[in-house]
Amino acid sequence: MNLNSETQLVEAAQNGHLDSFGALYERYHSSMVALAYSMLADRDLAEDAAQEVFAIACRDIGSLKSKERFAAWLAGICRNISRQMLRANKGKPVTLGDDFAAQSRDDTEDRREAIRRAVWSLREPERELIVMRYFDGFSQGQISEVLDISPQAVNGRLVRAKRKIAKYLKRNGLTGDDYETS
Amino acid sequence: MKRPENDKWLDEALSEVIGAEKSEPNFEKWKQGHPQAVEMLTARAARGPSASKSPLSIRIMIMKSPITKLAAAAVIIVGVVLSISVFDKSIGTAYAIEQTIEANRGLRFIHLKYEPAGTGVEEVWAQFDDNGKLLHLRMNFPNTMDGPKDVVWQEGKAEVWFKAQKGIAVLREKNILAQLKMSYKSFDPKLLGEQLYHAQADEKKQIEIQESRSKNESITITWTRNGFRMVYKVDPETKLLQQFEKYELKDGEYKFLGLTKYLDYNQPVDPEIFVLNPPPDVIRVDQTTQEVGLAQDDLSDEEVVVKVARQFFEALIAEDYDKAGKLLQGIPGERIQQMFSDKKFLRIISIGSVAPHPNPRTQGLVVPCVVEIEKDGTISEWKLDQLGIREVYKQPGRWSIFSGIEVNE
Repeated sequence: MNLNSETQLVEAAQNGHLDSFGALYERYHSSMVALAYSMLADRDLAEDAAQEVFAIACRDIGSLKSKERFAAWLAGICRNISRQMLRANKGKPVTLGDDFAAQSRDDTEDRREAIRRAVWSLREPERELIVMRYFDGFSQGQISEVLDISPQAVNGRLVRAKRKIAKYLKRNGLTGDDYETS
Repeated sequence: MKRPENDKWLDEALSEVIGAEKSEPNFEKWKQGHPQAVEMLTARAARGPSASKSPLSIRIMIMKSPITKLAAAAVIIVGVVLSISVFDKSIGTAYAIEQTIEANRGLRFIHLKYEPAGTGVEEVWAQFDDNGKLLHLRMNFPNTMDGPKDVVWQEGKAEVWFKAQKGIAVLREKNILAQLKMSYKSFDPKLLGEQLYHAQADEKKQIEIQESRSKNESITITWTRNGFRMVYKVDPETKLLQQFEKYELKDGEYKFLGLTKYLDYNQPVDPEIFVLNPPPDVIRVDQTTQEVGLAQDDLSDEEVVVKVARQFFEALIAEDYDKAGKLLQGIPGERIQQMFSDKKFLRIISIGSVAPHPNPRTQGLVVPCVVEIEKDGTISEWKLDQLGIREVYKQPGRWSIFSGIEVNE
């Protein structure tokens, strides 16, 4: 990422340049949807949350002091919005129930459901990482920027989170041997 | 349990499950939906960074109310809605999904059934207060990983009747309500109405409405998305949802998955519906007042399973029935004493290797155990081939025995 370019975009947006805000929107929209999705577990709600994130960012961008931390600032708004939506019972709880989950119909859907449960059984910071990594193929650098942690920390946490998922799945009888993408 | 050496399959699985759809930013559309925000930002060009934030603040505050949010969304998207060929204009006065949303506002009680039976929740009753807030909920699950299970919820407390285990767990934990609501969300006619309403405004979503041609014929709404198709039937007079069917696209055809039928709306409520009335031999374990099982701490799953098994048998040998009960789903000590009154536990002979439970849906592990007992004056081995142990229901990080023990009472 070109930091100068981004700080310039942020500064321009702070001065009322809509196209610059548009460029920031295009750049971070997907990552905000992913971040919201990690909390809401509902794609449509996550899209709604992302729309609200940018509405608030549009309103408050003048208050952002550290222009180089725009992505992390945006992520903070996103978490707040998602929590509000959860509180308002507008979103799925992040902990998926055992037998309360949607009725699975076959092995493939059972496997997918098991994987979803494994992901949403993670703690929030790990879940954010996993969802961002696999939602739209964000790089460790991009994740690092949005979550405001070092790329090394991203890598380490990803490994640990995946290990937990694999362990959860194995406990539920699902391993690489019997996983087949359909 | 060894760590996965090659997790390529996991990468593929996660990409498939989480990354099934790509997010497509569309700033032009966002601008259309947020004219005030756009106006506030562009006003900065003239007024500088001290621009007032009050207009949008008011909008955000108002939007916190779901109903107001809906109304606000209606204003924003009305132009879009009008441009979509949602209504079959050849059929009389158009039905609008808003009418169903309006009809749902007066709901105080609903009763629904799901078919086919045995695939999850089968029957649901829900009661609401005058403001539409959920007061009572009952959901019956005839076939779960724990066997048949009935759940009632009210005032922040849930009771789960595990019928096969003859036990009721009393839970006061915020996630239980969240999970019940998540399940109920699949059937909630209010929410379904709102989802349809919002989906209608999205060009990417395919919604078709077929008006009824007579008072006896339902209005049909078909929503197709992501390989699934939902077919909703709406009463042409009351505008309430009568049923909805779900289909999944497989091999080029939409295959039937399930049917939800709304049996009663606003019928007089029998309060007994929301009360569990088990027979006397059902054990009630109040998990709001006691911890069940053993804390995992830093132990691996396999280690904690062995520890639970060992401590359970050691407690029985020491005739510490309270401790044994705590490790066996929190069953009261006196009941444990009754259950094992015909045996005297002498020593642990072996605790074997931990393996996944043969039924993966239990999410548990099993460990074979052999214990020496004295029964009717005779010493023998009591073999438990598959002592089932897993994390305690709603008490993460704590493990207890949940299956594999058969006793003569």
